[in-house]
Amino acid sequence: MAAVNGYISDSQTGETLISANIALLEINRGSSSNTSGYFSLTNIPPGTYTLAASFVGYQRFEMEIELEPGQSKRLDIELDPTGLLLEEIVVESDIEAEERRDIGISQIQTRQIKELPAVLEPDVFRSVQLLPGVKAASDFSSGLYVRGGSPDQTLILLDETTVYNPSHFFGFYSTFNPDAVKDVRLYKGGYPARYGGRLGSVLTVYNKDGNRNEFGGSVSLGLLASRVLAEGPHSYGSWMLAVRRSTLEPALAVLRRQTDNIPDNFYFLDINGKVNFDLSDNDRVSLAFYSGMDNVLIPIFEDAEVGLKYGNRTFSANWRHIFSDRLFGTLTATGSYYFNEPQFRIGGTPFERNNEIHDYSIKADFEYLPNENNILSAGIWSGLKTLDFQDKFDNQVTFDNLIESQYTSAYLQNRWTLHDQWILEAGIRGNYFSEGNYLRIDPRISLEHRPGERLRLQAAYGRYHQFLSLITNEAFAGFDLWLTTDEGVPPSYGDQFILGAKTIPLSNYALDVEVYYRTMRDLFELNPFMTDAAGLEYPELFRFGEGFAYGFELYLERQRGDITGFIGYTFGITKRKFPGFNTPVLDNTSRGRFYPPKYDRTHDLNLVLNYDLSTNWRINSVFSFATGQAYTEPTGRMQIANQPWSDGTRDTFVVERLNNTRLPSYHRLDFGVSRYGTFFGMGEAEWQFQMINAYSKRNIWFYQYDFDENPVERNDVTLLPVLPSISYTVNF
Amino acid sequence: MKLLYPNFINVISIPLAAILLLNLSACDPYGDDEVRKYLVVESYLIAGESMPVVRLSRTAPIDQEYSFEKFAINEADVTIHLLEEDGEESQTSISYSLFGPGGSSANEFSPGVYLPTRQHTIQPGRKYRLQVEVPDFPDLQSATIIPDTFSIQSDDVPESIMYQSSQQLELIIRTPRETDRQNVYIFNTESLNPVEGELVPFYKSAFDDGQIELRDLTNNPSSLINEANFEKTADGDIKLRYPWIGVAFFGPNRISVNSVDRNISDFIRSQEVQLGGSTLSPGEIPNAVYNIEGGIGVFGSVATDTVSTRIEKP
Repeated sequence: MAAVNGYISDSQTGETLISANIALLEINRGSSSNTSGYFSLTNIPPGTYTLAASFVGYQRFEMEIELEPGQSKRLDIELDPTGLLLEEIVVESDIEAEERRDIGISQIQTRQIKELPAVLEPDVFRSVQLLPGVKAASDFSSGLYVRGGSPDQTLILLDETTVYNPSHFFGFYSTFNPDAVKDVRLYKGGYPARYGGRLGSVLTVYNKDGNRNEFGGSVSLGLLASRVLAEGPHSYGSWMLAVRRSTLEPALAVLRRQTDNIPDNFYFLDINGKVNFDLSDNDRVSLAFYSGMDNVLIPIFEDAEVGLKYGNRTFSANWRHIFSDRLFGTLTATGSYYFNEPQFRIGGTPFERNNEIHDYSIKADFEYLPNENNILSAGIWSGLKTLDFQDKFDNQVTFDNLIESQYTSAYLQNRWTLHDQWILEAGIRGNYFSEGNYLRIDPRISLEHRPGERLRLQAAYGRYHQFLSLITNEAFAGFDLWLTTDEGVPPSYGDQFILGAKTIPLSNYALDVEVYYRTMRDLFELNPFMTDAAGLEYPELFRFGEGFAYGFELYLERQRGDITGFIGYTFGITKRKFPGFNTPVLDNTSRGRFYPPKYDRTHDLNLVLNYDLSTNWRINSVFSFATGQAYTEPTGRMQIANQPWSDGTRDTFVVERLNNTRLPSYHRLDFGVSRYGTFFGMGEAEWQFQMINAYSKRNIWFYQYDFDENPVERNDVTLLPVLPSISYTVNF
Repeated sequence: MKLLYPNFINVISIPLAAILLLNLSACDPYGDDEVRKYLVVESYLIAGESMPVVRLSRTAPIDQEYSFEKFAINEADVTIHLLEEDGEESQTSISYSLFGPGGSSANEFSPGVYLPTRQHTIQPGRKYRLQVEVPDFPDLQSATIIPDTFSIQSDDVPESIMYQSSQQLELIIRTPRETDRQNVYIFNTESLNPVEGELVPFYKSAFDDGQIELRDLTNNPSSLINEANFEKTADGDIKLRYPWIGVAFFGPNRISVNSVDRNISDFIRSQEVQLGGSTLSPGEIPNAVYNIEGGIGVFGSVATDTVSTRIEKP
């Protein structure tokens, strides 16, 4: 028997390609590249074969190879990018379309991220929000609400490192610089045993390795921020450096002359870097870092100001080693530092909060191919997580909690091709969290049946545990607070059940349908009624509850041609229940009833269309429609007016049920036009003209009640108005 | 391209039809609510003082103009019982009437404001139960444990202090005994000369901006503050550095320290998040926590002490 293995990469830049397809046509054997861009086909009878490789946006690769008995052929494949502008003529065999369309996984192309109309600045998360099953809390939030879960239920990994603060501008933008990003993949649910630590989903982001062939880069100027990317080869590999910084200072300076309360200081910054070393044919090492922060200082009135400083720094060192054509391994050391230090100083009295996470870990992952029908994966991830939460009032520490926990997780999973038509993937993951001494086991299983050439039927089940909780406000992420499990605060857990069908109804089209049901138990959140943590035991900070979500998703995509794009539709229901919350007015307050959180939207539809007018002009548009979000319509009111310490009054709502009704339906159209050209012959250039909320639909964010009016007056707080945007990018 | 466009329409027509069907068939099972009326009580027992008034009303529909008088309840039987340690009612019960002690229905009365019919001094550390019966409403009852009295060591309070000087006003609070539950305080600064010219810079700026009115600042109460925020002295006293944010006016000020019971603190901490500011999503409005059976409102208790000082302009 023989084998063939190697990396698949972009011929122009040398970037490795994740999930590219590879096949030996004569024997109907196929595979796809892993997250390192590596593939391996083993147990091949000696002979002459046609090897084909393909990837969206690249010209199909085909070559004849001859394999001798016992030969292990190393074949690094380079694919030529076609650019999506061209109408491609692609003839693929079914096995060549082996592309891993696993259950629960969605992907968004990085080019799409940069081209979609975006509020002032292209954004990774806002693009991901267009995928079915993913909802946005509002126009102002880039938070990912995946399949009924809150944003903290999605594990965000940047080059295998956990990112705790994924947003800038109080949640308006995500921290990922689209210039630096190579691959964005969302495991919406039923994700495999390789990942863990979150109840719902996993978002993996891989930054570019950098151009291995020539020096290059790009400069983008936008209304909100500007970006610079530089990349190139070095003697042993490649490097990449990307910097993005907000450029609001000139506008703020003008505004400051005309109005009060304009921030004295207001910027965000992020820097991504990566250096790769190709030590040998079988060894590749990469060092990557990310540093991002927001810094805001806003004067409120005289003798009062608010300061916000938060961010995340990550570091990873990754060693990929090909042990043999059957065994591939990666060893990764990661570090992640999250900080959030909001400060107020009002009338001579300071309030300060400090929330920090130091997370240092090492992990090893192995892929072993014992035969042509099995891919065995195993790994271990161990680290030390330190979480500090401190409050100070008037220069005195009022709450201080330091949790140092060792954590270890290990997994074993096998992808077993039982038959041409059946694939079974089963795995188990064990998680240990030393603080509280929690050991939890997560079984995962998925089954795929391919009854016909263009149809895959899939089912998956998994149990998931979560040891962290993000305390945030959907309206404003500037005061985000991470808290962990501890004694008396057990980890949350949940089960997920998914059924799916993936089809290719027509050439160049993909149609995916999935149905899911998931539970959420032992949810722990900061008690919203807890106004002062001083003197409380750690478990007393929380409320513990449960939830569930179910839904149906449909995704239709056209990947090639002059018109490309997708329709994503979601029917989804999610509910939560916490004791003492949403109880009948006169009922026992220790009980609770299920209610829909604000971000629950029954129907959610996104239509993304890209149209190439010519080689120089391209139109992009996004239309979104969603059921109005849940909100609470109070039915009654009363007033407290006799407090012995004050002559003030307290107007109080009476509510029959929490979030008992819906805002009007949400809809919005964004469109943009891109003009491609050259910058004085020095490089390619692109103008982007965009219009957000093109027909100026004043969608409602929430209602605000004004007790100064009698009867109480309800006022609309609206979302984004029509917003034009322009940007210019030069690639050199 | 010309051929692909019709194909694309064909392909999307099936899912669009499915979407339409789902839209038509999916109704929200969590429909609108009907307006109900509830009995509302408000009364505060202050340790060492006489029995307070009990105010009774009913809730108003959210879309109607509100005044206490309009929704006052005048046909209630109101009684407050002093309970024994074992929870049994003691011999002491104070009944209430709209007309007060010895009053008759011929007298004038304030709608919804019930007065005790006899004298009783409220005992710290003891439990009192309120019972209210009103036709067409469920029976209402609630209980409160009176916080222990305490004293501010007034000898340590300076006659005057300079605003925002490094030497903050320090209050030494002497409590008689430890309890299982930590005390929760509300501080209030009452200005004895609340005129615009005496406003401190922060509040003056907010006043000039139209964000606040003078009458809102005459009394400037804090939010709920747990005892654990403060330093404990070797004698077991609580040493409190009074925060400058509590001072709205220069000149003479009276500072009161109020130790509140669980009913008051539960109500305030839940009521304050109804208009936002917590971790709740905007528009997500929970009910307040009342600790009352058969109705809503506040039946709470307070222990209090007051000192005076003068805030000098720097």
